[in-house]
Amino acid sequence: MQEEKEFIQELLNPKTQNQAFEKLLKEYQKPLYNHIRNIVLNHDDADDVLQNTFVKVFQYLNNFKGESKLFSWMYRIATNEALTFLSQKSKKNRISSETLQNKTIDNLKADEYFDGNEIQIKLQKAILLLPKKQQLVFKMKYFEELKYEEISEILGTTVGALKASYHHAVKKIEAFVTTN
Amino acid sequence: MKTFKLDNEPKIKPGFVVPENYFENFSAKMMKQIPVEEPKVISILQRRKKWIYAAAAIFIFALSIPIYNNYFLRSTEIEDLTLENYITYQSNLSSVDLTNLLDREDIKSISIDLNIDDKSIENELILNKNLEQYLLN
Repeated sequence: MQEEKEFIQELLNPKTQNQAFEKLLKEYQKPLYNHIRNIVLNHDDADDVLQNTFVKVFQYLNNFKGESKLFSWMYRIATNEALTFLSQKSKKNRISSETLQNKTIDNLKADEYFDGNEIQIKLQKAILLLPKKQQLVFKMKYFEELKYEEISEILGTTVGALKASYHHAVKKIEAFVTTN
Repeated sequence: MKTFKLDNEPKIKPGFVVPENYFENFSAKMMKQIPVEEPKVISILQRRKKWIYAAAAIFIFALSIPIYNNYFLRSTEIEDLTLENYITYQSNLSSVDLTNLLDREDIKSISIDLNIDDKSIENELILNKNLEQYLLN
């Protein structure tokens, strides 16, 4: 925690800012990209959202109180940015968020930055049928392999509720894949 | 039908990939986007803003004085001279008309008590050669 406080000071100090930010990018760009990509599904969109996320992180670093970990604060920003991006994109295309995601999944086979097969596409379709919160919990637990405690800090939900949420999600996904 | 169980299956990865060198390029791109904090340069104009505003306010106030005098302090009453000139040159009123408008009180108030003593009248009568002519007329 002390180390993190020092790192935040380095990020705020104009003299050490550049170096510290480079370090922050190196450490977090991959996990944050994966988190965002799991939400928006498409690489170009994930790239846009990741940029916005880091810009916001830099912009609001002064307001970061250190009440939560830097890691969970950044994940929270990334999640909000990704969800806002999806809702804006669906509004722009005048379709629902679900229809937009369905279209993206249908286009995954043709996506040059998707290297998956039928089971992966089926899994994505099964996830899409879940309630929004369960989708997030499942992706963070199953794909990103985050601990319940970490997810709890990011989403502000208790560990117990997260476990129940993940359990329901798995059951629904298994039922969908079995019958389809 | 075989029941699908996530835990029994090998781990399914999302299957997303990124372009080559994406993360290396991303870092470089972000570093260019992040503004480096520079000391704020306050121009002389900005520093003396208060004084400039004060001078401008005084200047505008000074300019407004003649305007105020011309437009706001101008009396709505017509000056005596203007009235006299109007009656003399523009009006159709004759002196008889004007006299008719005066009542006894008015005449009394405008009558002038010359208070000329008898001696002066006598002198005038003696010295004025045309007097006889006036009397005859």
